[in-house]
Amino acid sequence: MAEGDLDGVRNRLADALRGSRADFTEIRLERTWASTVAFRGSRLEGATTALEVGGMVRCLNHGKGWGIASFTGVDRLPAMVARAHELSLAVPLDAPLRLADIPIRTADHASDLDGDVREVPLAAKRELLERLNQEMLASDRRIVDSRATYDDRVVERWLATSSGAMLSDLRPEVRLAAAAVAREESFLERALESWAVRGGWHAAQDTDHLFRTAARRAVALLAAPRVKAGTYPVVLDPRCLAALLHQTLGHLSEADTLRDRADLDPLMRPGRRVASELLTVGDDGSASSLPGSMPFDDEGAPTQNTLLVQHGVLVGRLHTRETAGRAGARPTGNARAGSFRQVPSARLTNTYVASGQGTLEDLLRPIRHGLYCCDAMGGDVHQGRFTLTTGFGQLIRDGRLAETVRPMVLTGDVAETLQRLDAVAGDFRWNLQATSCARPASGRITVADGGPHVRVDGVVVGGDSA
Amino acid sequence: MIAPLLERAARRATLADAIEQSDETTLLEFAGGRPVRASTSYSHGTALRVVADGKVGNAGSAEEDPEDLVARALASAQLGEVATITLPHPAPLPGVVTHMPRAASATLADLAALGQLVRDRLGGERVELGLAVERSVGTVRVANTVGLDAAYDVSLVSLTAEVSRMQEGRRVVVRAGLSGADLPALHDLELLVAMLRQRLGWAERGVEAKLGRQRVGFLPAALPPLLLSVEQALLGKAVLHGGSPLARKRGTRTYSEQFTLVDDPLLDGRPGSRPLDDEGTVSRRLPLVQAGEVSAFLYDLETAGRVGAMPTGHGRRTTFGKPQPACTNLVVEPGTATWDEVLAAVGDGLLVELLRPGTQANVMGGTFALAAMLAWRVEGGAVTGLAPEVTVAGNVHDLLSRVVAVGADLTWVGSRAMPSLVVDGVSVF
Repeated sequence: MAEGDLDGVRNRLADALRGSRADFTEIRLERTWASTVAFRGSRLEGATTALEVGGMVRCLNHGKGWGIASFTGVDRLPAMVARAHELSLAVPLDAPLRLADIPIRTADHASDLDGDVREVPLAAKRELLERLNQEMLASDRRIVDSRATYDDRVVERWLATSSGAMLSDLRPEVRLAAAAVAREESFLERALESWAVRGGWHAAQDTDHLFRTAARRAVALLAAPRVKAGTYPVVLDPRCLAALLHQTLGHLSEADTLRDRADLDPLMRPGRRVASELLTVGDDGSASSLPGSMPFDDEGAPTQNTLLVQHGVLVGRLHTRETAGRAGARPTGNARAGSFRQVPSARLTNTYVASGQGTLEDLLRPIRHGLYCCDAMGGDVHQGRFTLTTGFGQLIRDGRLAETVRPMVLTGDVAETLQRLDAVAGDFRWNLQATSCARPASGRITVADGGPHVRVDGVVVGGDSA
Repeated sequence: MIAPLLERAARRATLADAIEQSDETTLLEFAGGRPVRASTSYSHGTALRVVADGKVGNAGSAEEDPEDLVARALASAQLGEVATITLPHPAPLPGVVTHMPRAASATLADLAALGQLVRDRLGGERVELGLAVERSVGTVRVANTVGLDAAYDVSLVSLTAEVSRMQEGRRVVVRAGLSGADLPALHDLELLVAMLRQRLGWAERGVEAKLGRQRVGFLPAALPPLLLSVEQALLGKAVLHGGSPLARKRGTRTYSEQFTLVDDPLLDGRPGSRPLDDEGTVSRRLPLVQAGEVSAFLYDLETAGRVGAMPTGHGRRTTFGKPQPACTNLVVEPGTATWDEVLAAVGDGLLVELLRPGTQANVMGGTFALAAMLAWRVEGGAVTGLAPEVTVAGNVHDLLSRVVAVGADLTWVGSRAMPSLVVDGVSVF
């Protein structure tokens, strides 16, 4: 499949669709050009480029389930259409599937490549990363190891359906990640920083701060005390807040999650109050140049800004064509898959908490003894309870930020915790971290999140993450 | 395309090796006890490594274009690090079953029948049942410029079952699975159903959990996320970079005498089984921890070369990216404790069935705080009911020095074979 050969690809897609005997056929093709440079300590781990081409065909027949075939290369496309049709016929269903309509369009989208990464020699990428990594390693004698990676990709995607949609897009992506390991006697601490954007080589410059921050934090954590377990007033920074919202209301707003979990449905009924009225949450795949942005989703539905929670009340859900068809709703442009190997499901894109009023200082002022929780290393929600491991944190003493503390585990009932949210600052920002979200069925996708600082009166802190 | 590829690479590089992998995976997903979605995935790819002017480079492709692949590998080598790689020469391969013709030729209807059998056996239970049956068939071919050219076929059938039930406002989920080169035997499917039924029985009564430090029994399926810390610390890479807390512990007693860990690629029909690794090193059984003493680390060719160790046959490669050391089948040696003895060892504590992975802050260091999504309360050496969801926390390296009992109940969880393990002093909150 020649690069940029739009007409050639279109003709192939049109021919394959004409050859299909299924009631509905959808074809998605992807061509990904990628390069990676990685350092571990001062040693180059690798500098490679990769090119991958492949696709997925989905067929649906009346009274039958989905038949799906994914493949590498494109030469097998006609055979794969036949195979997907055959697989669909093999799964009779009692209740027919209904796909909600999407606008039938022909459109080609191409993002600004912002310094096309495919044109930049691998040696220049290595040079950039080597300099950043060396600065991180040399910044303190206690930094004993590091990991540094530079990744870029240019993804071309085509989507065509037997209903007449014919779409394509071209999007660049660049990511940097820094991990610093600090050691003092037998204590070992790690700190991570990452950054991602829909952009190219130009955007990757001026990223020195990531590496400096990771090194500084790893060293600071060596001497950091543990937090005593207990219940504290906390202020969450935009990253920590976003991680909490992504894990809780974000995932619970994905209509696929709710289909598989009938018990959650009443919890997430539209109109239900789920948080303090200060909280407004949305998901916006159409936002410009963020890691989760794209013009149309992996089923061809246009992306949009969808409000999920408005002033603490549930108002929306994220849909695929199938979940929207079942609910009598409109697709929201959230059908996403990690690659052509995976079936799209309703997933988050760029998830945000809307800004409020005031500053971080305003939020800290009334707290006599509390915690400032920053970043997140991982989290989970189950049975309405969440656990979230922060990246780091600081004590709040008499209304001011005090010493750095070790990562801690926050836990609690989702609804109760969000009800106790009592202040939202006006300092909204998108977190341009290299954040991804993985699901066994629909794969790993890049997402972004954003928000302001918020205060919650009373969160259970399970002490140090150890 | 591996032969013409190496021929081209040999003209411009000092040495080269490649792996070509092809795979066809068929997945049947069930809902309400019936198949609702059928999918097939075909993939094919080749990864090439070259050493030119003493420097190593890697490239991968899903396309049949040897010229392009060689050019990209050489470009990578120009930037590459100096490395001493000694490629393995051809050698007789050990016998190990990785492919079963009847699994490879099973039809969609045969796969559906496996799911239906589980559904029928669970028929009387008032539960929601989620089932998936997956079958992969593939070929792996490894070759290099010192004459090695070996291939083997692979088949793998996996069945996963998840039963769930609403109970006092909580959704109770019990999971079980089987995987191997062959179609699962009727006997194993029946054991799986019996286990699900037993757990549903235990779950009928919800009880309070005891909080604070206590004795905790980890059932086989709960162990892999915990042992990830040990696994990562045993990788040659972690030793090379000094990040492994086990790096200087070889030959010293680090864990409890009851803890023995072996990597074994030569077990017949298991998901990690293979006659040679992805770089052509012949597979062998490798004890990693023997009676609490760290005895070996896992190496691929490049890492072994850097450390000055012998490669152990643990190179793992995907189409994209360079070879990395990784485990094959990881086996914790079972002990002698019967089921009653395991419960007696827990005494008054918690029995953890499933942990949610992914909330670990410092994997290699061993610290963990993981949600126990399914756990049982044990009182007076007997299961008294379903514990609420709690978080278990501690340090894996410390916990393994406090092993109280090891069950005789060796159970396969994917490519991991684990017995129940009872340890002292686990934080529960």
